[in-house]
Amino acid sequence: MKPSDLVHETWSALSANRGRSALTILGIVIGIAAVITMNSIIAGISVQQSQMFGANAARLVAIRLSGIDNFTVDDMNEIAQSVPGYDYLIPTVQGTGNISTNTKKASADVTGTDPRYLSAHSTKLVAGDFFDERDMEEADRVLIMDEPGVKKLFGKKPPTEVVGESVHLGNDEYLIKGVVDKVNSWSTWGDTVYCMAPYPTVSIRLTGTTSIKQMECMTSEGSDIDTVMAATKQYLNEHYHLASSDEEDGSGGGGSPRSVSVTSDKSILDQVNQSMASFQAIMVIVSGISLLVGGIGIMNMMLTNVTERIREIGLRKALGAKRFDITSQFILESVCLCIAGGIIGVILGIGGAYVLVGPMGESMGMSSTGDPLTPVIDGASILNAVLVCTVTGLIFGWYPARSAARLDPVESLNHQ
Amino acid sequence: MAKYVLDAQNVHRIYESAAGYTAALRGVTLQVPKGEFLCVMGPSGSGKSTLMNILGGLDRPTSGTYKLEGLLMNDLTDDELAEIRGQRLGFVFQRYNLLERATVMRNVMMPLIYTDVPKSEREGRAYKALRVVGLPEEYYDHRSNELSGGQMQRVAIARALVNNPALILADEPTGALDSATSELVMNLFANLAEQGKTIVIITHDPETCAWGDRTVHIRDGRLFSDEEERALVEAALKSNAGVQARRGNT
Repeated sequence: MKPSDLVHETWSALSANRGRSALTILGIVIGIAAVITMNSIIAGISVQQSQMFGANAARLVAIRLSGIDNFTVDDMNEIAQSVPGYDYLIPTVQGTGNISTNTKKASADVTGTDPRYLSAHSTKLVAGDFFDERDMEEADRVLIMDEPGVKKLFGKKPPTEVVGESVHLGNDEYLIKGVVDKVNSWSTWGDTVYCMAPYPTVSIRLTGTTSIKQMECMTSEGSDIDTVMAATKQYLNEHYHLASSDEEDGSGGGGSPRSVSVTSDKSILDQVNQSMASFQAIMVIVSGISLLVGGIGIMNMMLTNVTERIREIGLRKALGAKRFDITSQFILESVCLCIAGGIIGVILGIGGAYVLVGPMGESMGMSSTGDPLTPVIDGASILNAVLVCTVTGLIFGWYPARSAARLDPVESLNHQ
Repeated sequence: MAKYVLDAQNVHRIYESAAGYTAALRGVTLQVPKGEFLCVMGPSGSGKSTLMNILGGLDRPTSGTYKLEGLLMNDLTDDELAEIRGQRLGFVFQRYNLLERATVMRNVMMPLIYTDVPKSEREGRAYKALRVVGLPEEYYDHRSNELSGGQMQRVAIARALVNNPALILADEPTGALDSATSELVMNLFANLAEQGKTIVIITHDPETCAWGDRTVHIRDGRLFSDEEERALVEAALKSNAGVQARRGNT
């Protein structure tokens, strides 16, 4: 029997019983729809997480020093040279003050850092330029605002028009050199305006101290972040005779013991990924059960089908059909039913993901961070779903097909 | 080239069941040369369906030999028998056995999907077979369940012809038809026989047998020629007349 004949015979048999075929594949449809919906939403959550933390979040190490004065850029560079596994270290400092234009006033939170901050984070420049080495050297009063900040301070004015404007920050006047999309993931909240400026500018003009208290360190691609963190702690302990602590609470005023905290977002990301993986595993089990039930439904229907078509099977055998011809026809019917169920399930699953993503995002507090949670449709999971359906069709269609092929032609032809 | 299309020698078929052994065929010997139109006549339970199943390669003899065009069928596997059925045999059943969901054309072409006949040739062959049985072309795209009994049997005969078989086997082909349609169908078989087709019809109807070249009778699993059957009947009648006469004397 040629493949095209096999397909024609299969289509003819399935289309003769459309209603029953549709009901039979319901279990498969539900199982696949559930998997695709949940996978798409979970993938959406993962993407949002990585956007929130930044693409390089898993490579970033934060060092906070407490009770140490006169920690200079040279000391920081010494860490980069002595501890293997770092690409570069960036000093960061947080300053606060009031920011105002001629018409509006708000409180500002300013991150003092260096130009490499942009590549270390997933922050994107949308207008103007980021500050450069010259701004750093001369401690220029230049400011990088973000889009939510621009909106808070300038209303509907587009970022391109804000670049070049002057604002008052603290006691000085600053030039807005550039606008980025977001300084941090909470910059859309409240009335505070989040900005960035050269590290020396912030430390001199807003915090009043030049000693570095915080650093962001980019580890090299492929290096083990835990090993690098341990080596950093050891280096700092040995060179500064510190009481090491992983807790941020260790920092404090002059009376506090000298301590250092070396942390990373990797553990948080790992935890998030682990919870997502557990959730995904539960979904795989649930959908597996659904596919099993659906597969049994298919097998049941195929067995009924064989019983109802005994005379047809006898006739086909009388007209020259071999066992393989009968087996392949019934298996193909089963596989086609499962694949049809899978395709309908994929379509419903994608639709379901878009319908459920809103309520799920709200219940998980995802939408409050700014960008709405959107499902991510993964081609591989669609392909997997279709493959799983094919295998289900093969497994659950095999027994009925084998039963059909083994029927005696004489008994089949005489079946009433 | 074999002398006979069909050559059965001393064929026995014994069924085994919980009740014991039942002999459906007891030493059947039958030879059919090419182009013969043979009728096998017998009452219900005489073993004619069992004989048709064996001649059609749907069943195997318990003992004895059966050759189709010189090929010994006894030891062939199920798949080998299926291949022989698809290539060398044409079946016509009492209840037509057409696929209701398929069109007339598709029904006629069905044996060809299990052979090596290329797709391009199939429609041509089906058209030819349908023209031979005289079914008007307007019915070719109809579903088989939209046809009358006579039309359905014509489609079934066309299906039996489409693979140009060595032997056409028909089991009570007029059993479900009225007398006028039966005559049309039998006329069709007679025409095919005239064209050189080898036909074996199994029936219980003497009128059907009148269309054949030769009739053999089957009774209790044994075959008898027309002469043997006549002699048996005459002997039975004589014996019955003797009994009646003795009863009259007493």
